[in-house]
Amino acid sequence: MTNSSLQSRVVFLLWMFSALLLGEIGASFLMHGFEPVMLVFLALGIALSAWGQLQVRRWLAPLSKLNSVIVDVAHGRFNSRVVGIHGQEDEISALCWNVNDMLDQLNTFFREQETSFRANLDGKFYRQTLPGGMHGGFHKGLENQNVLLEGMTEQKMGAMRTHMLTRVQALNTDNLLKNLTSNQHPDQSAGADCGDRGVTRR
Amino acid sequence: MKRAITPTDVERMMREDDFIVSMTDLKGRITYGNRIFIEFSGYSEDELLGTQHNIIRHPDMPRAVFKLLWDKIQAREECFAYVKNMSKDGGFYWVFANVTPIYDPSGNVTGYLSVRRKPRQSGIQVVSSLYAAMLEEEKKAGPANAIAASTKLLVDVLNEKGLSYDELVLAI
Ligand SMILES: Cc1cc2nc3c(=O)[nH]c(=O)nc-3n(C[C@H](O)[C@H](O)[C@H](O)COP(=O)(O)O)c2cc1C
Repeated sequence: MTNSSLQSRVVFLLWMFSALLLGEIGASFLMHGFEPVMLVFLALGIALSAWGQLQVRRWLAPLSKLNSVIVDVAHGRFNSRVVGIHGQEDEISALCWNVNDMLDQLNTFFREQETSFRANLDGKFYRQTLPGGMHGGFHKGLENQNVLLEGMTEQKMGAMRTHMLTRVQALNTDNLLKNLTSNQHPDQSAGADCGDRGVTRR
Repeated sequence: MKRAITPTDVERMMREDDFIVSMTDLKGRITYGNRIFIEFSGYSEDELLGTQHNIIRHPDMPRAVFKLLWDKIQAREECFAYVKNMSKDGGFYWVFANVTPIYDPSGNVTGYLSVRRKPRQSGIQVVSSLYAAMLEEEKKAGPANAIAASTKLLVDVLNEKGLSYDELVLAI
């Protein structure tokens, strides 16, 4: 991965630096003879490059996590985050935190969109999107969605009203017919009593 | 688990264009917190990761609210709640939380996500007195019956208003 190759390039530089130091000490030995203080410099130089390698590894560690998070996003998965960033002093931690912020915005946007649509379809019209905390286009997008949801709600309510009115009308017609038949009831029974007359009346 | 922190009267106010985001595993251990969470809770990322989410629990919160929260998210529903949280220094901050399950690509729940927004002041007022009454009920009922007692109070309030829990918290 790019992370390890970046790291190995820095490691190479650090060892080159140590080798240079060794060469310098060797040259000094040839020119001026043995000087114990030179050994101290050599030890310090090697310690510094070993320490530098550890530091570099620590600084670059979030990069591989960042990479796997971004691969997830590219596949449409927004739930991963870069964690274990350790403070926010350097450019790499700033980059990681900013990617996390971006994912929080994206993730919340999609969740709000889906949840509010679903709720609306279920008749829970009170569940609109919550644009609070969202930034720029995300905020605007959720506000727009609320306008859309209101339109859907009105349409649904309108359809329900029409449906209800139709039902009421049907009920009224039913009742009217029933009333009519029950009003005719005495006549009918009278007619049944003297069926012949009923027939002959026509 | 939790260190003993003495609650203070210092309040932190959330900003309009921020939200606090955190994620947990299925057991409620924190797996992610954004920078705003770190700022308001007062804990470092290291201290938060792997810790139970009750690390910021405020003693003014009734237990029944968290019971409701867990019941809902375990039933794969979203849950809204006004929550009073306690920072590391004992200060407090009110949030309007929306907690939802996190799914893997095959539809299994792998954890939970909480997005907390700046709450409405009117909502805090309603909820503060409701929570105080619920807490009172919990103290009266004793630990074993606490949740049942304060849940009953909550259900009574909802029935009186003719609202579902979500409708209430979204409306206030
Ligand atoms: C995603 C998620 C976010 C949560 N956020 C909070 C929170 O902000 N404050 C809180 O007190 N509890 C929060 N909880 C609930 C805690 O897990 C816990 O149930 C609660 O603090 C009560 O703690 P207790 O059961 O030890 O009394 C959250 C739970 C989940 C799953």
